[in-house]
Amino acid sequence: MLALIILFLTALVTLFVGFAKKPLLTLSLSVLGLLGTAAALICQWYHPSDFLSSYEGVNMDGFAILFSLVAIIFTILIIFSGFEQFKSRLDHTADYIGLLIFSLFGAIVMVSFQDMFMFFLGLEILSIPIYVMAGARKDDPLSSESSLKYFITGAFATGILLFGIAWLYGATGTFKIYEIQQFFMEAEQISSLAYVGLLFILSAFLFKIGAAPFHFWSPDVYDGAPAPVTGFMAAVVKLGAFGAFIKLFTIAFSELYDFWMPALTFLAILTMFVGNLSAIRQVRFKRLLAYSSIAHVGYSLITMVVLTNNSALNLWYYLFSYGFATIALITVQMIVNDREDRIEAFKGLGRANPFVGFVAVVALLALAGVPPLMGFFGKFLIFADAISQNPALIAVALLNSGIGIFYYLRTVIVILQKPGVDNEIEQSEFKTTPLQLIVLGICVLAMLFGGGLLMVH
Amino acid sequence: MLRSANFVGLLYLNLMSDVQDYIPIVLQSLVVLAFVVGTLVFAPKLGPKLSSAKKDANWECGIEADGNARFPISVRYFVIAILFVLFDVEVIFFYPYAVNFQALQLEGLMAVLIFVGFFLTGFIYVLKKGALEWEK
Repeated sequence: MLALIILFLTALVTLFVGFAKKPLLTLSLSVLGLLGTAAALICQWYHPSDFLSSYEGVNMDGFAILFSLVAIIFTILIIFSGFEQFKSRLDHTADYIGLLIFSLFGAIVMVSFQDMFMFFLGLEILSIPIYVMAGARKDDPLSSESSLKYFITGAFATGILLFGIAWLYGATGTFKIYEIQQFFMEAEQISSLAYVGLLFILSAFLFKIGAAPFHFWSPDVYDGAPAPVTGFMAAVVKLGAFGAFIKLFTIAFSELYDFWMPALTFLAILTMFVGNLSAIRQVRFKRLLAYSSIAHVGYSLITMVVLTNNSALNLWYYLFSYGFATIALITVQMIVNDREDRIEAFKGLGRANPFVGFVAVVALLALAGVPPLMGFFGKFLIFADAISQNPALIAVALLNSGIGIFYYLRTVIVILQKPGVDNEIEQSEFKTTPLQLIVLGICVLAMLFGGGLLMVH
Repeated sequence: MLRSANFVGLLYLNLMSDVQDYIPIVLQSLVVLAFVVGTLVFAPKLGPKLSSAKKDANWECGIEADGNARFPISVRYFVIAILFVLFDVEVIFFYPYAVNFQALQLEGLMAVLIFVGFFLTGFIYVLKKGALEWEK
């Protein structure tokens, strides 16, 4: 709870500090607040405190702390890498950063929820700032379009989620996830209301994480939104939604596993194929990232299909590795800064700026799952955990990884090519800022040595 | 133990109320539908009709129609309208608190103070942002 309060105050202070029109002050205060939140979470890990423990809506258990810490790291990285863009609109710098922190607040509520009410609240706090942020480039019609699309479809999904929660409440008579679990364990006959409610909640969740067949919003929104927001959506929003997702389904719906497992298996396979096959034909970089994120959602769903004791940790590790790679690529995209966001514009990046090119190649290879990068270990954990239970699913996933390698390597080749001699595509300057270089450095270190995390536990 | 269920189970909805309980609602909807459709269909046919150019004009309440209704409106109207709704809803929350003022004791007062505090913060933010300044 203490961490949540610190985070909330940080966001408020950030908003008000913005009136001073000193971007560096705003940045340092907000990052200080985020680090304070992380410190409070780490304290909570070692000494589970009793601060406001009478409130049962949220519970900062180990699971919540792990997910929250990663979300905080990602948010700091995104604020750093997007700072150049935030700074360009001086009167809105603090609003951008403040809204991102509010959204992070929602993500932390979502991974620590104990009842459906807090869960819904967390989801809303997570989504609403992102609806606004997607339209942050006010003079760009694409940005407004993506904001409107995300808002309307997102509001619709929220409606379906609420409807599902209502059905579930009708069947079980409680909002608390442990009481719902208890109810399903003891009930002699489960009312069909519960199944309908579960399906509604499932569809809303699949929408939020962008899994097929509820993925249609994500390429347009990822494409239109400002680059830092795209990175935030891919890294933090997905992390929060997945954390809440796996918590809800492993606790509240654990007794109904036989009911939702086949549906989820089918959707995981569908999501992998849709993501990977659509990514092959993309010419815009952010759209490529969007489809690649759909494919990665497919791999992550495998942890839910095959529930073992390690599922939550595997999912956490996978999203951790995925987030670093995505943030690195988004940062590179901001450095390339092509107006039309073509993959072709990356041509010559490796020669013009070897460090940035190197990070981009490492990130792409990490997404493809090439050892010894962190992405490989993430995939390895998930597949190794699932292969004894569901070998067919893993075969499909491996096939998809193969398809994925094709388009990731194609992008790597573009980066390593010589700068074009033809004047058709004018060459960008690849301007970097120190903060972006720091982000790239952290990301590349994490991707190269992140496998070491496995030795800790 | 894991219970198996399938999609076929969904077909046998085990609702808590019987089907008969909904007959009054069905009847009511039918009456409503019949009334609306009936008035729309029969009223123009039964009554006498006189039409003229003046009578068919859009605004016949005394003021001549001037220009088109579809012109761009300043975004400030919307900002102020949204802010009005926001702060208006805040007042609604005070009513249940005022009714239960005695029962909620000090804890209730603290909760309301925190609530008002957050709203005040928002109000100050709006003021400083200049959202309420009409002329800039």
